Amino acid sequence: MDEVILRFLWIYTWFVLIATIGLGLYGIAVKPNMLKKIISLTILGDTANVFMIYVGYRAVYPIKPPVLWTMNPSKEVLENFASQITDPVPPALVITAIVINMAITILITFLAIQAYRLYGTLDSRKISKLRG
Amino acid sequence: MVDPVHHLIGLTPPITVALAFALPLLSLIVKSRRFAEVYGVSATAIAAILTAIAFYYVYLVKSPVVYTFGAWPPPVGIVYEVDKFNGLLGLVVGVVFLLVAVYSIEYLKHRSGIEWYYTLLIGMEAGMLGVLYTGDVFNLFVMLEVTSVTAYGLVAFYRSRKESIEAALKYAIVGSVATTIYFIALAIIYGSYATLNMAQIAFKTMSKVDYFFYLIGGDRLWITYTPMIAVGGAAALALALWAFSVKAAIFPNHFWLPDAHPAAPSPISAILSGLLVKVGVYAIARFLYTLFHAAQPEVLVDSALKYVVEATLYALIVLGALSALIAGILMVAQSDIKRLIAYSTIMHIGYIAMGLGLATKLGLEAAIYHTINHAVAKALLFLAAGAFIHVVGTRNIDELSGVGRLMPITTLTFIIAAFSLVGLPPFNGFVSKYLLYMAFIEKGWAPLTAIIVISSSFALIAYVKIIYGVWLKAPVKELKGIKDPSPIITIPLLILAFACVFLGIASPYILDKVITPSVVDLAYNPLNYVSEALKILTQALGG
Amino acid sequence: MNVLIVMIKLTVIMILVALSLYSTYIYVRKHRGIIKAKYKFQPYGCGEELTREQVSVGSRGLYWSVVSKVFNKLYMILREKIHTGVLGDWFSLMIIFLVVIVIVLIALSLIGVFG
Repeated sequence: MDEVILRFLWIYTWFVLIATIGLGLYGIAVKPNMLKKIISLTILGDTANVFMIYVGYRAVYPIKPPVLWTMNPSKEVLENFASQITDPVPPALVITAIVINMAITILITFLAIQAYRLYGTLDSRKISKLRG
Repeated sequence: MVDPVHHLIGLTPPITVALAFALPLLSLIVKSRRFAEVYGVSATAIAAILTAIAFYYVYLVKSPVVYTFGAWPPPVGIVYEVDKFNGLLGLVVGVVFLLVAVYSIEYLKHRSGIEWYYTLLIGMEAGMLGVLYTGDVFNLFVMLEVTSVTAYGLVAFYRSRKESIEAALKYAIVGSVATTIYFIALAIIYGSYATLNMAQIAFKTMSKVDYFFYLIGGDRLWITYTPMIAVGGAAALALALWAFSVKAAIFPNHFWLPDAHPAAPSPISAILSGLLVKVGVYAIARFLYTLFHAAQPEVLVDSALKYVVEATLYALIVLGALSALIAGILMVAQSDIKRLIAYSTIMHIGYIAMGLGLATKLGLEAAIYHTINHAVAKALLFLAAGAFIHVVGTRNIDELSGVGRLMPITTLTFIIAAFSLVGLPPFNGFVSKYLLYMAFIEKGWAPLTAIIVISSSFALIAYVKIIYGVWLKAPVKELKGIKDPSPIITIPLLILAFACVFLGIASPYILDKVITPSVVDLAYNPLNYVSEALKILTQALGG
Repeated sequence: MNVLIVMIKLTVIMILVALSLYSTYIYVRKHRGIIKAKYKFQPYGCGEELTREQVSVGSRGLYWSVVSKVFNKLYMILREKIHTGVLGDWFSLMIIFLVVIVIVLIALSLIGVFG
């Protein structure tokens, strides 16, 4: 029973993640307010990070953190270790991506503030001086 | 023992990053405008020398060069892998950046904040060289972000102008969506192929056995091959190519380009149009041809991936043709000189995409040669237009009427660049367009050449409009004191114009010695790319 | 070398054509004689004094008839429907393209795997 629930939750979470990515893209495409576009962008970026974490996760017990406690382990210990841990690479990638996302969000927010100063609005339908 | 030249090649992007971030700190100590200018020029000169060394080494000594950071061997650590293709593009980046850094001294002499300008400029060069030289798909993501963030910042350099801020805001939102989508593609790649190393992915799409993991020794660590990996590969390819097509501005993703490129200062427009979109083209070519072997689909282990790759190639041809036509139609209607040139960029990226989509040797040669020719000619065109703007102070073609006769050098270089891009014979653009025609005829798709002819004729109309207006028309207002700008601007123009002529006249030699080997390295010799990484791994394991 | 020969031939042809056209133009201009105007060559705009520069064609209108006659409809669609300058308008096109390419490629790979 537990296995069934676990499997259901696993697949359900994947669908939720994909739906959230769709939601982020929808927000950027449809919401006219620049600030809401930026919020949608952060939603998209965070969902991508969770997506990456999920790729490295393992839904089959036993699950252990990727920390090896013995020095100079034997081959059996290593194989046992590798068959139980979660993958440490995706979190490493996600840390980098979070930092980059933060920098970009700050830059875009600055640009939005400056656009508000110049145009007096954050409505993306009115910030459309360049066309054609 | 690692050859010391490998250190120079592998450390080119980190050295450039360090040079970029040292500038704001140093400018706190030395509060002089001249210092920032000299520093910017010398930093780009160092990068140009390093890329020239990489180019020389890769072409004459050994290709590809694999550089391991911290001696971590390929599938574990990040490696930089320079072969003849990215070595060539790296040289183009280095040279154009150096000329642009020199040009910027004069162009921005009335502006404050020059040290921040040079910081972003050198940072963008570092990011581009990182994207080109890297052999790791995640490092490509990071470097793509470095390039993009600096580009957003530079587009918004005139931060009190409405159109700069608007263009930068749109460009930043679209660009960061693209990189986020690429990050999702990376998650799928890592989930399907269990690696981020380009050489290993290239190996795993060719073979069911993963020799990298075998060498590391854990025969239990084996990722068993299933045909379903192809589905992951297809999804990753779709997402990654979409993201790169935003960076490269191929048809449905091109909308940010005509806003962002004119809004930046002219030297930055030259870099954005000449080089930054080429980074997207490079990534598309690398993914399709080195990682997924589009030129020889028979080596792919999954028959499913063959369908996917072929569909992608058809999509590239269709989208390239559409971008060329649409950009041609919109280009004729522009009255802003820089916006017109920006539309021309979309057109040429369309040609390059068509060449890449052919997946024949001739088509790839045409695409790569056109990449370089367009980089040189478009940089020259934007810099020459920038010289007009710098002297006259307007971007409207009508208001530029008649200034050409008073600025002969600028007009001459502008005409050379425009004729080169239209594809008139003695210049370089003709050669690559001729190769593209030949490639279409060889493939048996001769009617498609009509698209190139039609869009080129639109380009000719648009450029003749500028040349007529600037050179032959009676001036609208009184032209007093208008003459060619100082040599700091005209010398880069003349060098690039000479390069346009040289790349055209010496084309048989260049094709033979430079372009064809780079095509072979890119698409026809995947085992070479992989085995170099494997060699490093066996050495690291003490074999 | 193939490319070089093609290029040299085309260049020579182009230069010859341009030279012959230019020399004909100069010849005609020389032998045309001076046409004496009965009226002064002055642009006339409903009694307004206009300078020569003001009556020249603007760059927007120059060579415009190609597009406005042949591609007018396409141009209007491109300009008014797609290149509107509003971020959301064209971003939705990009998203549609993304969804289409992902679905098509995944479907193709599934066909390849199972069919």
